[in-house]
Formats: sequence, structure tokens, C-alpha cells
Amino acid sequence: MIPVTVLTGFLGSGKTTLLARLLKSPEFARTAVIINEFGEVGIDHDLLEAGEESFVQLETGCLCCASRGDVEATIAQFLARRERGAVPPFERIVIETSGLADPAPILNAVMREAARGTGIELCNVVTTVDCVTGLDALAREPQSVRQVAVADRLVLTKADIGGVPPALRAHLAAINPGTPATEAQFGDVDVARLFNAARDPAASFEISSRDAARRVHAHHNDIQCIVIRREQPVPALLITLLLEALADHCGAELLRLKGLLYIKERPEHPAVIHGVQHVFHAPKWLDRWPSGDRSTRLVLIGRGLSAPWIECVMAALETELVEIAATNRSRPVAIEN
Amino acid sequence: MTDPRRTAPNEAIATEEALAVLVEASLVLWGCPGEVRRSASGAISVRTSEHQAEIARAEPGVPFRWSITIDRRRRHAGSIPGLLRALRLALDESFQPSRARIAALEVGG
Repeated sequence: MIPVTVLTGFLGSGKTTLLARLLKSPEFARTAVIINEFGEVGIDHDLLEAGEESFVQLETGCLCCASRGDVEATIAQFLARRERGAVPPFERIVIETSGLADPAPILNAVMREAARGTGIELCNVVTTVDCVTGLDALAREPQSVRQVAVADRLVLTKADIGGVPPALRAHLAAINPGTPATEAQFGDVDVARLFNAARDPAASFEISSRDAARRVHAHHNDIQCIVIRREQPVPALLITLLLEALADHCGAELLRLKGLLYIKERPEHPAVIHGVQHVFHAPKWLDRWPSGDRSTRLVLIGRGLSAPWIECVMAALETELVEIAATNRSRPVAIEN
Repeated sequence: MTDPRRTAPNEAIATEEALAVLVEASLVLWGCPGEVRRSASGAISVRTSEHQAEIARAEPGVPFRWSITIDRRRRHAGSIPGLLRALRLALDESFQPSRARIAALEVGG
């Protein structure tokens, strides 16, 4: 599988600087990069020095506004050229979005391409946040909030100027609780840790009890984060039906869903699920629980989500599945003579 | 004779109660003002300014769990999400259900 990392973040938040560091790192030598710049003439690709085994392709316009087919087509072209030997045999793909882009449609496109069995997988979403201007951007720019909402990892850039404002940390934790945040001092950051495909899939589920207690965070621009927690194991069917209801009724407004699931049928193995809008990754089963906390934790981030409605869906599904189990138990058993 | 489709009564009542609460919450989410009531038989009636719907258990012999009659037209649903989809399609003209179907979670070791 070729891992795909989506690098996003608002204008001027240091995405290209981070990408430049990545491409200079020997362990990321074989990287194919797709850069999306807003406007017809891009310069970001000229700011990057790619080694002989990496290459950079510029896409102008706005990937998230262009038809999703453009992202899929670019990835398909990359893979075809790799197959023909027309480009170096890259081992990963990084898509740097425009600072103005809504990353959700791009993630959606990558996940759809992965689901077609093309040999790629969405590995990581890295979002850069400027420590100096980040709070202002989050207050003024809805896209900036969406970029934080979908992150697997946050990079707090320009922390060397005045540190990381506590208000910024609190705001980021409210939008996307439990997501690891790394500080970049003078552009210096451990890129291997950020972009490594072998990341801990359960890393972002260490939701604090305070986050879980608050459960719903409303923001001025309607982006909400809802945390659902269940201490008891849930039937696998409940998750399937819940996702179906979410896909139907939240769809495009569901920016991100991530969950660590305590499944009744496989209690020793937590399942990790990820989703963007109405596209959900096939769950990954972990070998063991990452900590002593064996509970289902679902984090939903999106616009206009309703925590009471989601709780009602869960409650109705739970009671119906209890009823089905009781019905099955009370069915007459045929006894053969 | 035992009806193999019979449900355990207490659990069945709990399901209908939870479903009625969910339908009410769904009307709010969809921005469709309406009234939700439960009848003595357990059926759930939904009345909006333009439509009337009744949700009940599917009749025996039908391979679905639920029946939903909307403006006198009956259809069936195999699950609660299917039921919600059918209801919203009737009540909310702007609704576009997801074209993707969610595959069952594989639990085999």
C-alpha cells in the first residue's frame, strides 16, 4: 500500500516549509508530492528542492472546488506513470492543499480512490496552525476550522516567536479533542514522527475525561465536536447501522468521524474507524487495547450536528438489538428425537 | 403454536418508545415541524402540515422489520436507518440519501 498524507493548514501557516523539510529528509526520499495552489500561477513548487527520487507536481485552481475527479485522476496518473517507470518509484504521496481549501472533499476523494483497490491508503492528515495568527484565523475563516477539524496531527508553527498561546491550545482541543500537537521551533520539527505511516492508529483517542464530560462543543461558525462514549461493548451491527444513519442524515456536513470501538463480538481487539463526510474507511482491528480504557469512543466533527439526535439513534438501535436478541432467545428450539 | 416472529413484549415496547423519541428528534433535525404520537397498539403516527405517516411492525410473512405508510402508500424497511430514510424522503423534498451503503463490520478473527 502506498500511504497518502494530506498536508493542510491556513494560508501562511507553514505547510510548504514543513514539506521542504520532509523532502530533505533521507528517509522520505521517495515521495511524490501534489501541490495545490490557489490562482493560476503557482510558486510553491519552486520553493521546494526535491531530491532525485522525489518529484513535485503542481495543480492550480482549488482542488476542493474542482471536481473530485481531478484528485482521483491525478493520483491515478501518478500510479500509472510509476508503473511504466516514467517517474521514480515513489513510496508515498503527499498532497499539500491550498491554504484556502476545504480538505474534506480531498480526503473523500483519496478514500474513494483507496476503496477502488488502487493500492493507496489515506495514512495521515497533518494540519499546520500558526501560533501567531492561528487564533485570528480560527475566528475569521471557516476553512481554517475545517482544516483543524480533520487533522490526525497538528503542527503548531512559529512557536519560537512567542510560544503557544494557551487560548489557541484550548481552542484546538475544543475543535478536535485528543489530537496530538507538535510544536515547530524555527521550522524545526520531527517530520518522521509526523508523516510516518506506521503511526499509532489509536493515538488520537486519548480523550480526556473533561472533553468527554463536555461532549459537545459549539463554535461560532457552527462546527461542532460531539463525543459519544460507551463503557459496555456494542454489537458490530449497531455500528454499521449508526454509520448508515450518519451517512444519510449528516453526509456532507460530517467533516470527520473517528472512533475506537469496543465491539461485543471481539472484545479483546479494539476496532479503529475513520470517516469523512459519507465515506468511511473499513475498520482496522488492533491487536490489543492501547491503554486500560476499554470503552467505545466516537468523535464526530461537523456542521449542524445534533448530539441529542445521535444519542437518540444510538438508543433506538441499542433497544432494537436487545429486542432482537431476546426474540432469538425465546424462539422455540427444535429437538430431534 | 408459537409464533417464531413474536418479540419479547417488554423489549418490543422499549424499542417502540425509543423509536418514537428518535422520530421526534429527527423531525427537529430535518427542520420539519410535526407531531409524533404512539397508539395503544404501539404504532407511531407522524403528522406534519402536508403529510401523514404511520410506522408499525411489518406484518408476519414480510421479510422486513418495519412498515411505514405515508399518505396511504405503504412501504417496508429492514432497519431503523431504512425507516428514517423512507420517512425523510417523504417529508423533506431537499433530502438526498447517501448512495453509499455501509458494509457490515467484519468480526471474524
